[in-house]
Amino acid sequence: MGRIGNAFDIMRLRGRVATTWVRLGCAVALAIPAIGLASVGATSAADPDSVPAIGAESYWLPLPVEEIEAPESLDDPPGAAAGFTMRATIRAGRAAIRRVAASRMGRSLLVELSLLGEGAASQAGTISLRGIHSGLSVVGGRLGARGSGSLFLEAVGLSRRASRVPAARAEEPSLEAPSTAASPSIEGIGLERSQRPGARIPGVWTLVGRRVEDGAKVGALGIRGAFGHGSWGASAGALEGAPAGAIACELRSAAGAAACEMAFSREGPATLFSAESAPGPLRIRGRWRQRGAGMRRAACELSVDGGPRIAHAKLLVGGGPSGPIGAAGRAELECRLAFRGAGPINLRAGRSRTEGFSAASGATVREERYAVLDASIARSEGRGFSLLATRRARDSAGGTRLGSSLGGRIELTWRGRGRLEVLVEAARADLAGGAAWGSGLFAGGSTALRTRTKPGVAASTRGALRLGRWQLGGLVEGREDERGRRASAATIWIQRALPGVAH
Amino acid sequence: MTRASLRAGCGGSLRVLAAALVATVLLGAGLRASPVMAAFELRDASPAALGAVSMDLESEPMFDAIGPRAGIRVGASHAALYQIEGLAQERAWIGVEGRRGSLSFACSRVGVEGATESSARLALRESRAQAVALELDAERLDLALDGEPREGGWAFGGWARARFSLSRLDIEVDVAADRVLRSNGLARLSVSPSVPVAIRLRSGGATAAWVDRWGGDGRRSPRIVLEMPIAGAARLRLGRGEAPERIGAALAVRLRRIEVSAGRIDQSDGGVVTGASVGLLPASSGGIR
Repeated sequence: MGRIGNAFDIMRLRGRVATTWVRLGCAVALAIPAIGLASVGATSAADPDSVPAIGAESYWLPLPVEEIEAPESLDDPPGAAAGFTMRATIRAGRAAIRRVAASRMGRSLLVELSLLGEGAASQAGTISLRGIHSGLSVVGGRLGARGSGSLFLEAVGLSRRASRVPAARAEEPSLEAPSTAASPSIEGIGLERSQRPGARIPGVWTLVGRRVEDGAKVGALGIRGAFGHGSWGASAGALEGAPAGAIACELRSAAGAAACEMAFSREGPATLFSAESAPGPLRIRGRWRQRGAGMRRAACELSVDGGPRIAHAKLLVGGGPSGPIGAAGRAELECRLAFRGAGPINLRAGRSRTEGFSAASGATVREERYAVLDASIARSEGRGFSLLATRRARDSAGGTRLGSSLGGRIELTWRGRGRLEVLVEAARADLAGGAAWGSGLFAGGSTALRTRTKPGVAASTRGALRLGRWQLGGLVEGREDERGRRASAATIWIQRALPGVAH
Repeated sequence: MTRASLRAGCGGSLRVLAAALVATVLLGAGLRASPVMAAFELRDASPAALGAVSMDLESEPMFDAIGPRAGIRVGASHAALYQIEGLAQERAWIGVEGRRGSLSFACSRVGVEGATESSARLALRESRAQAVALELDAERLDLALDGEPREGGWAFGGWARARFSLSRLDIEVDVAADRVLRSNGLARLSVSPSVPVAIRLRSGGATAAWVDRWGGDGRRSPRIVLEMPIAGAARLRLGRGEAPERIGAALAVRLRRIEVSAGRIDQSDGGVVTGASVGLLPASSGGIR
């Protein structure tokens, strides 16, 4: 799962003030359930600005941070290739450089050097040599793998288990420097050669080294090829001597796409299958995963989305394991109203059920109803104002616990060079087990929902300024709980674009 | 509660001093400690605030400036709190209003002899005519107790106001970051931030508003405020609030550029606050946008 900042890309601010009573009525109607004056529910929806391509993820509202596969990478500055990147944080009055990276592009070679500011110095550096025309890359030092099919990388310990079911993919992974010390990575060397367009020789990749967190030996080898309407891949490797392997295939046509990944490891065989119809008035997606171990091995996500031009709705139903022996199921409806010239109004309303077992309390069942609203109230030249509201109600044996939040976000842009986003939010939560969601901003431009179990006011400011090829950005946030304790943190990044690379 | 007992209860702890002042206000009135009032939360007891049952927020003027001409708004108010002799709030304000925005300064003092909270507030506000308008606030808050060193600090906040225009209806949505930045002195006095939210419907000079204030400790204080013109030169503001239950009313009369107003709040537990004010309005003041 990648960045989810598409709904919060404030550089796209355009338009004029909304002037229709319909828009206001919808905003108020959507706000009422979200702030707890009525039961949770959604009644209408609207069309996204653009239809995502096959395989692309689209979220109109931020996801809970625990459902994001690599939240630590969200603080990285936006943009892939940069001549220079530096990210630093300030917490409790102490400043620390988290990552410094520099690149140099020659005629046929791109040389990148990355240094993490955390952990042992011997495990902090990564150097990569990438052939611009040859497609050959060599990465040494601390490296991670990203973007491949999920089952094989899980099996060899190079990615975390995600709760959401991802799409199956047959692409080779991208070997690169980890963005943070918390990212899954190995200390070793990797080699990859991508398949050239139209060539018969498949792409190949390999890596070998020791996992940074526990020193486990990791080795992997894979090939990937493409044909007329699809691609295939095969991978084999070992984690601390335990073999693992996977094959993947991806088929695309005008009517839709389907992909499958089958993997084996010491846990047993695992399968991931995904299919989706082509973009159109009605779009259907389905994903199914069967792991090799655990009491509850199967998980699935089914979604249907569609609607007229200004209103779009997406229904998502899913279920899967929760913890070692538990199970979780969810059904949610996401709606979007997007009138011409005005910002969108997005609502997500859903219900989840989590079953578990503990030695202390035996079998437990927890049901939760939730709603998240992000309503753009008005926009003018270079400015936007949105109302944010969330509500969660947890039902358990101890009763119903409530949590809610309410706030606003102001977005300012300056001549396409600078942008500033200020968010303030107050949260309430029953102290005996209630939880509210708050909006968590990340310095890289993304937003995610963070669970808050105590009442308080949180304020965050995020901005970026572009001066020629240089970009300076950052995030400052402060929170307060019911005891008046304040915690503040800041993240600053500096980036210099490579010549000829637009950001 | 006497001055001596206040001193005895202070013990040098500033947080205790602040709590002692609030206890003086509430317990002295024979009330249960209300959950609404904490240190420096009673900030505006002018009639405009009493009518809006919103002593914990800065009040909106009952006669708004209209038209492009700049002008000066100045005034002062006095409020008697909870029928306790000597317990009052005095407040004075001055502001310069123009086509693009306004700059205002207000200072107030609340308390009894020997124990007072004082505040000075500077606000820079953009014109409401914009679709999205901003306001920045800076406050100096001080607590003074006889025999104790004066303590206080700075607080900063801001408002964002969005406005929709319908055919004959204006809708405003306000969200604020109230006192969200504070100096250490105020943290010791337990001054907490809050997020006030308001939705206002305006038509023909009348206004209906739903206002809520979410505190950092999880408290809410929703209220509904209605405002209407009476014979062109007078305006009536009525409010009903919860947590605590209270009703408020205020009447403002304009005589050329002079505004005279009076108001009161009645709380469900018996507390009464009354106030009056006199002020000079900008030449372009109307009340109908």
